[in-house]
Amino acid sequence: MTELETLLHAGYRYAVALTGDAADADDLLQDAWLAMLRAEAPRTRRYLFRTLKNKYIDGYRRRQILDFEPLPEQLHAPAGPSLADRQTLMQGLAVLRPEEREALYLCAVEGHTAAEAADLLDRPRNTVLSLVHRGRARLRAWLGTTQKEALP
Amino acid sequence: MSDASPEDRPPGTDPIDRELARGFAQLTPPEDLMTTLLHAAETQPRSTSRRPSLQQLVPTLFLLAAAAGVAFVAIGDPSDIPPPVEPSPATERAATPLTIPAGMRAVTLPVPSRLVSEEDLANGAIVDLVLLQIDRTVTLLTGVLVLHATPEQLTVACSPDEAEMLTHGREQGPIAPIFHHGEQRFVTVPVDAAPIAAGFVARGMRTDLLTTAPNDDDELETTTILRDVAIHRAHADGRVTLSVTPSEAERLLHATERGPLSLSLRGN
Repeated sequence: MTELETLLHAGYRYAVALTGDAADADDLLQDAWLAMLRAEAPRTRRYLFRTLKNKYIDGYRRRQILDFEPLPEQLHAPAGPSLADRQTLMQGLAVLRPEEREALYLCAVEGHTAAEAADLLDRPRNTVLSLVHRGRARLRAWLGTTQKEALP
Repeated sequence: MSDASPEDRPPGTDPIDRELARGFAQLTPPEDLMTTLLHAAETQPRSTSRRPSLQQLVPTLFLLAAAAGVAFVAIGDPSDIPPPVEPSPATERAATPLTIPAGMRAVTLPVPSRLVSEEDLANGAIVDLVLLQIDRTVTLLTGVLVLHATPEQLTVACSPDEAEMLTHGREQGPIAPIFHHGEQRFVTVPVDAAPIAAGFVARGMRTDLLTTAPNDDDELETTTILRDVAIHRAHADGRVTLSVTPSEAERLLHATERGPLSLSLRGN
């Protein structure tokens, strides 16, 4: 895989962590990537992540103004057994608050320390630790519920 | 990452973390999106260096200052610097509209024809798009590719999100283009036609821009909004195309929404 492909893959996963939705992640990645190219910015993970975050915030503000209604299937996702499964992962991400999703992604998936994630997120380290802890607890509870529902 | 204290690193042994990492590892962007974005990266010139620090710039600035001093002594008045380079509309203007790049959207915008110079209109031109409102101007997008241009409307290529923004923006007020020509930005505005009609205005001259508009007490007040701006072109219909910076372009376009503009030409 080339350097650019690796960067795009990382950017896509972060976009999914931000939006919690694969289709939104496609649009977000495209917007951020084109903005980064247009600005002739350094093609680094840090710059791409920052652009993704800014674009996500812009889009979030605009959605607040336009007041889009979420689709019913996004609100009531069906159950799944493991987060390692793509469909279950997307459903699990939907139960997290956006800031929990982002903090958990940076720490659990990207392997950043709480201090590094705090620097990327412009938040205190203790807040990041708390978000990660709450995110895990929320996912654990959701998985427990869905596994019980899945039983005959 | 490696020098962090042990308690700082979240425990990777947590089953939730492991499942999340495995799940995310399977996530890949759609193939067509990858192709489009990689293609965009190949066609976009790459930034070769990061912005240098002030410390790195000091020797360069010193040399530039010395060179400028020598040039001033050797050449004389800096107003002798040649006027901006004239773009060649014949070579830039394409006969047919450009095709929409893969993954992009095309949005057609009505533009105020008084703020557009026909000489600048070209398929393939690059523009900034500025939303004009009574109380402010907002730059919506910068560096946008024009697919098709007429004096009344522009069709531009943009991302899906930007298309949404432009469609929303055009309901808020008129959208004016600022044309790029290399590092320069060209804006066309209507001005007091008298000096143009008298044959006083020529390309390469420098001018201040004055505007007359009611103040808070509803009394007419004239203020200088821009100083020492290069005139790129004078139009017979009482408009001028000016070479400005992006922020000057915003101020200029904002002023056109408030009151008439006048030139105050500068002597050499």
